[in-house]
Amino acid sequence: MRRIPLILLLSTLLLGCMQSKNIDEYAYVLNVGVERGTTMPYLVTVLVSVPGGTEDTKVENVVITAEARSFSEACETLNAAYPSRLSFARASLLAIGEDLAKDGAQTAFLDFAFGKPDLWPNLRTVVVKPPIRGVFEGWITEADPSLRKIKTAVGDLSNESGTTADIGYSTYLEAISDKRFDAMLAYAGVNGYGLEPDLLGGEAYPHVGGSLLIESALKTSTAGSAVFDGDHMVGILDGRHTMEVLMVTDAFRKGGMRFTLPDGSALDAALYRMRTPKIRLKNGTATVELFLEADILEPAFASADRDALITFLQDQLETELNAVLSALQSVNSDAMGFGRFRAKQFRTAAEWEACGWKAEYQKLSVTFSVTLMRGHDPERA
Amino acid sequence: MNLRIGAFGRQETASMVLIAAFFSGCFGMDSHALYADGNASYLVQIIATVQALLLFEGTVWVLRLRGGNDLSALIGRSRLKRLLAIPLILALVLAAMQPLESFLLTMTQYVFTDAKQVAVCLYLLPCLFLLTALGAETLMRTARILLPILLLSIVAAVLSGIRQYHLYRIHPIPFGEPVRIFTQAGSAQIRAAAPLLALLCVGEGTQDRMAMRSGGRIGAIAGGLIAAAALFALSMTFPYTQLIDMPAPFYRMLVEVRAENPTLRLDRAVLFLWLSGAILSSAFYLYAASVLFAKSFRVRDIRPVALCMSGIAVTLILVLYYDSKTTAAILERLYRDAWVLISVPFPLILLNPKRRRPCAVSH
Repeated sequence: MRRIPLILLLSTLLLGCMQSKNIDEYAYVLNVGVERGTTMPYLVTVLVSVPGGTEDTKVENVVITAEARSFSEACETLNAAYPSRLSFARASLLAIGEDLAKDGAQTAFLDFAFGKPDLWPNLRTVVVKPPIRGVFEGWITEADPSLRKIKTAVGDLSNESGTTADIGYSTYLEAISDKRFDAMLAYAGVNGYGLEPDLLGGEAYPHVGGSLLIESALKTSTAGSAVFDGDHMVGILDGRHTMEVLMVTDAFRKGGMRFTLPDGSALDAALYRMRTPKIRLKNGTATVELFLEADILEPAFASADRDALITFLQDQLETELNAVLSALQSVNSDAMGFGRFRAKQFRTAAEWEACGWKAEYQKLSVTFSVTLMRGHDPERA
Repeated sequence: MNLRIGAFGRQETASMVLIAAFFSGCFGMDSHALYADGNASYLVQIIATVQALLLFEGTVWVLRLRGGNDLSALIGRSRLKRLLAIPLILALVLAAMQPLESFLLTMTQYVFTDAKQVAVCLYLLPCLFLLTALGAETLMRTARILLPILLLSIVAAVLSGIRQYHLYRIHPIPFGEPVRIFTQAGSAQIRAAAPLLALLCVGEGTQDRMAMRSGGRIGAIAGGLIAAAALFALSMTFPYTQLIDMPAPFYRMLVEVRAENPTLRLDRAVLFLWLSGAILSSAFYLYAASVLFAKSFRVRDIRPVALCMSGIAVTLILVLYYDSKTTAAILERLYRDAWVLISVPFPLILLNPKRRRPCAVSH
């Protein structure tokens, strides 16, 4: 009996939900973007979802922006401008403005941002050709009010076509802090706006992945990738070159490529990852063996021609891989991640940190060897 | 005497030691020291577990030679000898603080983001006190019930992040400095030795010395290996350069999976399950410290001692957050060098000569 008052007293501790807030008082930020501001250093753009917003869609997406000197200042301004309290707990996409990324100015800003409790560093990250507002608005469609499918599509695009990189901000942070590889982020832009050539002087519309998008419900496309040297963006790779880098980093699953044959005709091939690439690095020389399967979508070729054709495609891929590597070395970007293999050769962290990998990388000589197997067996995949 | 030790079997003993070994191994680490020279946390955990087992087996062997069921039987009753219990009590209190501090940081940083540490910490006090005051039997039987679901949650957590694992992140393995790995294992000794030390304090409740030995051995080996496996998974998820400054790395590992992955929604459920395990482990240490204190200083009731121990642990955690830098620095230093608290008194206790009773003289 003496325990009952004690239990009653302790039960007061079980209230749990003190200073509770109704869920309607919150508005959830889905996308966060940061780019160079005009009057202040940063322009922060957020895409906010308001549950029960309009009668038609039940969900209203609103894009709001604020210029600020820091993330917390931007949050204060955005909260003051918006009737609900903004929560970042459901944010799943981070857009970094290309202008900011080229200066490497986003790292200090975002380091602070991720000190904020409800913003997680596992956000899918894209580099965006400014204005970010335009890109976010281009993504809004009645077909997918929550933007969930669009974000999933970035991952699917990477897995299904290999024309873009799909990494989270934590991997980008790892690239900066760990220095074993350089980041390669998906690249997005408003269709047809401010086109730029890629590092190898290839296609001038990289963010539509090597084809020209004419009309769409969405005004924004994602393809190709932004390449970094540490925290500085140093160039763009189009969809095809992105695919080739992903083959080396073992992030490539499948994708299609068009090859130009010696007689000038074009040939389409569907490529599939067969197994993990073998990479060996010793005395400033690396060998990379890639194993791919190819479905050649040209029934006109006889089987006798196919062996010669496969050899031709292997040579073509090896030549292109060498060209991509040279372009990456010219901008000091180890997007292929050779540093991961160099780090294995050290017995202490201090030795690895003192080795000056980037200087070695500039002189690294790489031999690519591509093994293409004819025909793709879906069972094996 | 109302020490509430009760009686428990080998399964209960092994379950409690396993849970305590896992939570101390994974949630009580000093990241700055552990990842300063690269990533060998999983090797450190295995070596520290072996060291702790050697200490445990040695103590059980001495107990068998001298007769007795727990550590207080070896310490003796004289005033000077009783002082040997004080560093061990302090070591157990520190071991109780480590996982709780880690979870408090996780909760205030990622769950109750608007709450102050003191508010969350004060919720822990009644839980700790109640569990500690209820005694060893309650703790052990709760551990037996909690163990399957805890193991399931650990396996789920480790498997959910499997797509994020990359072996290159474990390099460079600091084999270049093996002495350094053994030094780190020495520093980590308190984390690995605390579950077995606590078991030695409550050994009276086991069926016999053999049950205590086998329960402790199974729990420590299984807990140490699971902790080492979890640390290895963590090493493949984050490089040492990030782990060195990362608050709550295991929780980060849980949420590292992408938003599309439904397991993301398990993170908070798993966190609170793990919090239950951490509170249980801490209560086990605090109870063991209370029993050791009560037996050494002849306090007849465990409850006031348990309340004091729980209060000290919670207060010290709060001091780490709120007090001046000097106090916090002292406590952090104490964490780092806590192995001294076990390594110095233990040989003295084991070599402590037993006072011979005068033989009855028949005329």
